[in-house]
Amino acid sequence: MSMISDFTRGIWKENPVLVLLLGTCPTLAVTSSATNGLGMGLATTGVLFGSNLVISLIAKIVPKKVRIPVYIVVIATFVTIVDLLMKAYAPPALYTALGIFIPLIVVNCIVLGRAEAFASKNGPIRSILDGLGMGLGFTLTLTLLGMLREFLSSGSIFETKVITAWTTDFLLPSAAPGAFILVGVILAVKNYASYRKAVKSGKLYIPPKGLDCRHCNICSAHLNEDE
Amino acid sequence: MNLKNTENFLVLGLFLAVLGLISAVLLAVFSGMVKEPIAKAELRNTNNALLQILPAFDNQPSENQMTLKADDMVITFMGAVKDGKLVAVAARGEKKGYAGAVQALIGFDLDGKIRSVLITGQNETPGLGANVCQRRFQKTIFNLFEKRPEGLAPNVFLDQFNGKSAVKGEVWKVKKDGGDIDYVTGATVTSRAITELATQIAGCFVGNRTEIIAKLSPAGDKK
Repeated sequence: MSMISDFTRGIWKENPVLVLLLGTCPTLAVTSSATNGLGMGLATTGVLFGSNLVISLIAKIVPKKVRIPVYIVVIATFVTIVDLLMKAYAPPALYTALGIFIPLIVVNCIVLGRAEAFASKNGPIRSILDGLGMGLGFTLTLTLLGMLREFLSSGSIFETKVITAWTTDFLLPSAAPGAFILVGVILAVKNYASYRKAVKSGKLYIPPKGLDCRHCNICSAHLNEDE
Repeated sequence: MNLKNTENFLVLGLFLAVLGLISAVLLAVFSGMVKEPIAKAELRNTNNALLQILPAFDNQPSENQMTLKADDMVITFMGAVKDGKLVAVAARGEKKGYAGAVQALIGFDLDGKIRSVLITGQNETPGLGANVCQRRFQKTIFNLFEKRPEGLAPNVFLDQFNGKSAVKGEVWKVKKDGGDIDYVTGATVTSRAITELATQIAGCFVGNRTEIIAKLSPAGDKK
């Protein structure tokens, strides 16, 4: 049972972008189209799979003092491998569009975060499942954001025009500020859904860590005792 | 010795060094393995662009090339050979656009007429400048499963240069600067950069035509 939750946790309950709020840089930078979001998500998933596996295997012999540099070396190795593979086999337009953001997966907090928080404390199989789950959650979120941005700016999804009469591009969603706004909207929807679910089942809604209610009145009903 | 809690900096350094070495060896082996596919992919990309703007050729134009300097721009000329004869020339150059360099690949007939202009590298604003540079057939949900037309996709701005050839002393300009090239509203800087690129490359080709043709013609065909 816990193995299944290792995998599914990353998709919704601890979604790296929407709940852990990690990896915001690639999230905002490369999701101008659904294809780019999907490509970036899959590349990161590949790195997460490799780095989580290797780190869970070597965690027992890594000296505590140098664990972060060790993790970074492992992650950088896998990023270079993914980069070379994409250069050889990915569609050239995708590789050009992702550009510098592929090497920058090295500093993606999701990868280092999972290494430190999960892979270094768990066995290889659970770590692989965690890496794949987190990667899938990242991929789905990036693809969703890419589809939204592409649709709102030009009426197309995956480079295919859905509304043929839409001829002039609307530029805000395809620029970085639009991405920020849309991430905010998705976050709000996600939090509202979690809140509704908690209220329905009669439980107290506990917002994800770092996203507490102090500045937000969606769930202020539960904070009355503080006043 | 307890490796996990050690504080001996020699051991720590050695650990990192060994790990770095392992990773370096792995990467060296791996990059050797994918060297060939990468070279193949790069060649395919160059050839895809050349195939779109040149008539059929049977040599490797990127190996039959020469460079010339025009003002501050380095222009690479590539000759397309068919049946032992030079049939067309492609020229590549780049200039600063709105955001970073705009790289163009222009196909010329031997008399100096532009066949077509293709932008092979750009980083312009998506939706504005980028639209000026892109040639692509619009996919819609209604024609998703139809066969895509072959050849070069149209682009209203870039197609203005088709069939033009440089005249000495004449510089092409966008209408805003008093020329006759239609520019795209909201993307004036990009339009201007591409127009300047085209006029410089075309001028350089016409100016040095005999030299370029002599140099790029296959050996044995030199007159």
